[in-house]
Amino acid sequence: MAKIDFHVETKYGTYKGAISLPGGATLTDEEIEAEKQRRVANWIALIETPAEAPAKPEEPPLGLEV
Amino acid sequence: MANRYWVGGTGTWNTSSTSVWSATSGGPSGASVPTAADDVFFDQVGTYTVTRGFTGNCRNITVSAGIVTFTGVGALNIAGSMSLLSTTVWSGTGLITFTGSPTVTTNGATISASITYNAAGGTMALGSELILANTRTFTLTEGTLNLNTYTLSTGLFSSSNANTRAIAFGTGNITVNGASGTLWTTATTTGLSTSGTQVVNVSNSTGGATTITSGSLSETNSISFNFTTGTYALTHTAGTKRSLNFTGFSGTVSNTAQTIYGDMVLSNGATFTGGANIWTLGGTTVSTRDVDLANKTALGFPLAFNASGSTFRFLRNTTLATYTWSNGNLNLNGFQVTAATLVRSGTSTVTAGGGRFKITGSNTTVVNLSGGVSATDDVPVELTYAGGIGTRTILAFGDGGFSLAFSGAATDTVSFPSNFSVRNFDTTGFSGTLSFGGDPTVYGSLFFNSTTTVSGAANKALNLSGSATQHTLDATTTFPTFGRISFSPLSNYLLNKNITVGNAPGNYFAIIGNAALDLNGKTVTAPQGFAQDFGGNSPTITMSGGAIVLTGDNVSLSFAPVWDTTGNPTFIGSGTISCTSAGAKYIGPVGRTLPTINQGGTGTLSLEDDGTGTGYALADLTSTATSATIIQLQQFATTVFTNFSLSGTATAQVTLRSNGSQATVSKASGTVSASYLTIQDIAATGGATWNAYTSNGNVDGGGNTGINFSPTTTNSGNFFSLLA
Repeated sequence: MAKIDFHVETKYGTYKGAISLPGGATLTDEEIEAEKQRRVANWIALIETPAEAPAKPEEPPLGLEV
Repeated sequence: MANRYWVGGTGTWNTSSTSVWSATSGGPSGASVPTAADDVFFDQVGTYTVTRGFTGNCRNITVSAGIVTFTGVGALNIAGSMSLLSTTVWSGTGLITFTGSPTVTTNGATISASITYNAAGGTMALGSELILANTRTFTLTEGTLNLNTYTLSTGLFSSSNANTRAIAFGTGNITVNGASGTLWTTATTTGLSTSGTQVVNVSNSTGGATTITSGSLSETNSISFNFTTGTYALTHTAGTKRSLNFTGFSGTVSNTAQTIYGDMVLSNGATFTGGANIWTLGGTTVSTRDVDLANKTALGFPLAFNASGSTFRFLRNTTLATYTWSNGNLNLNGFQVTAATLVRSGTSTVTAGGGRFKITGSNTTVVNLSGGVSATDDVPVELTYAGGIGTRTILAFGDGGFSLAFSGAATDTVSFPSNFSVRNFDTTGFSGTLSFGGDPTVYGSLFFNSTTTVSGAANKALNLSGSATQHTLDATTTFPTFGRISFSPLSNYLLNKNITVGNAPGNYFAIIGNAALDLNGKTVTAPQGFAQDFGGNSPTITMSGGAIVLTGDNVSLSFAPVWDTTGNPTFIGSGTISCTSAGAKYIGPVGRTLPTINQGGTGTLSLEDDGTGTGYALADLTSTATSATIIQLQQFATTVFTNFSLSGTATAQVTLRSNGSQATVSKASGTVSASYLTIQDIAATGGATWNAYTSNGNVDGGGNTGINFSPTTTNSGNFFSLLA
């Protein structure tokens, strides 16, 4: 299995990954670059997406007095 | 040990169902549920979901085809390696526990489960980046986590126990990006070692209060923490860090005791809570350590610079609010470092690189650089204060590489209680009193501004040192009087103002070794002067029309020469050595080549050569005495003149005589026309015509040869003009 190590600098630090190419699979340079960008984008989304917060108590519908 | 192939499509991996397992790839189902000894394979094409509701086991787990989603809450114990495709979805939340020595290659697939590695003596190696959901925890219980070159991203990283374990960062890094709470803990560091790049990025983009507990790892094992984003309350418990970098962080940082072995970079947006706990930039590994306090001009906690041999390099103009400097070197790196005081005792260097210190303190010891503090280039120290209260004391000023300047127009006192060294010294900007309690040694230029009052200098020795680069002695109006002024070997100075040595016993002006002094038309006034050879070198004095005025005499100098000719300086250009005392004085003890010698006072001036007969070579001999006086030449010696301008006046007759038997004066050519001289025991020789006509007030005191005291009608010889 071939493997391509890569790293991408981001404002959250350096993302250091590897793209494995199982069997005789090959990727074009564009496909490799797209895969790098996809992974980094996923990672950044993970960082920038708030983690699951505890469920809030249900609030009354707007417009109703309580 | 057996292989188990998933053939169940969308199905459930539980503890009993055999309908999803085959013993061969794509083969018939019915194989037993995998155990910790079995390798499991997901090698069928297609898109399907594997649900895991109970604890499962396997050795190696490999996904090599299809788009497989793992879901469910069941834990999974993996005794071998894991290999996933980048398209694999691991949304299952059950804990994954690795044992053995696995290689984990997830190809960037996000793992929604927590992972624990627990294998005494084993190594878990990453074969790609390992990305855990930001709610999950990676726990290193025992064994080595080897990142190789990859990123491990997790909500929380935990390794706090007494087991033997290691984090081999390689060239990889760890990101913790949980929302709140403890995102990193190595609170108990017993048994924990680290290696490689040792970088942890804390990337909490939420506002949740966050705790980082690094523990007290040794300098070798310490870990760098970069706070890359977020606006939250950060508690980083007391401990050690390799480097701390808050670039991108805009929250609030607690004040806890920190020991930082590498760089310290703060950020403008962050708030650093004040307190008494010290951040110590310490350690023993010699390195260059970047210090960037961002825009923090009033950090509310103390900093301690304490890393012997290391250099602290500032990355911007910096204000040090409360700090100590115990060890290490400072590189201002072209920036201004502002502090109330500058204190260091011990071996350290400072490099300015175009930067400077700005010292704001008042009524205290503002500078004390002692015990081996040296400057690698010109390090300006600017004392800035605008008030008039008390005394600013400079106890020591380093090795002479530091320059002193002022701003603020303060009217207080700046005191130097002891001897001190300075490079350039400029009092511009200071309107108070400079109090010299010790001798200054100056390696650069001196400038005294007219707004500065100088006290105590009159009995202090001003030592001018420096290099072949020419420096200046200057003042707005008057250069203060010192007790002694000496120019040391290698020094090179130009006078822009007259300089004066106070008229007191033991005071002198001296120039030593290969020092060079250009009078630049100015006057050096001193009781006594001498030029001393040193190291086989003689000084050079460029007169440039200037004068050396010597005020001492035999009584005040205890019969030492007013100009000591033991050394043999080279005089360049025209100028005068004037001896002005009303008492007897002499130049000696050896005949030398000198510029114009002027009898400036009524006391007898003698040119002596200890009877060696070597004589002097003078550019000229003059008198400005205002009443009768005597100039006495060495008997048996020849004084050679380039010019001979000596004359008295009707009210100040000058007697030129030998100090015993006949002395010789010689001039190569021209005609000497003297007035108001009384000449005695002098032999005039050389190619010049020596006229001292009595009609011009001259007197033949007897014992003379070669001198025409009366006009002649013919000139009968080379050396004599006979009486007419």
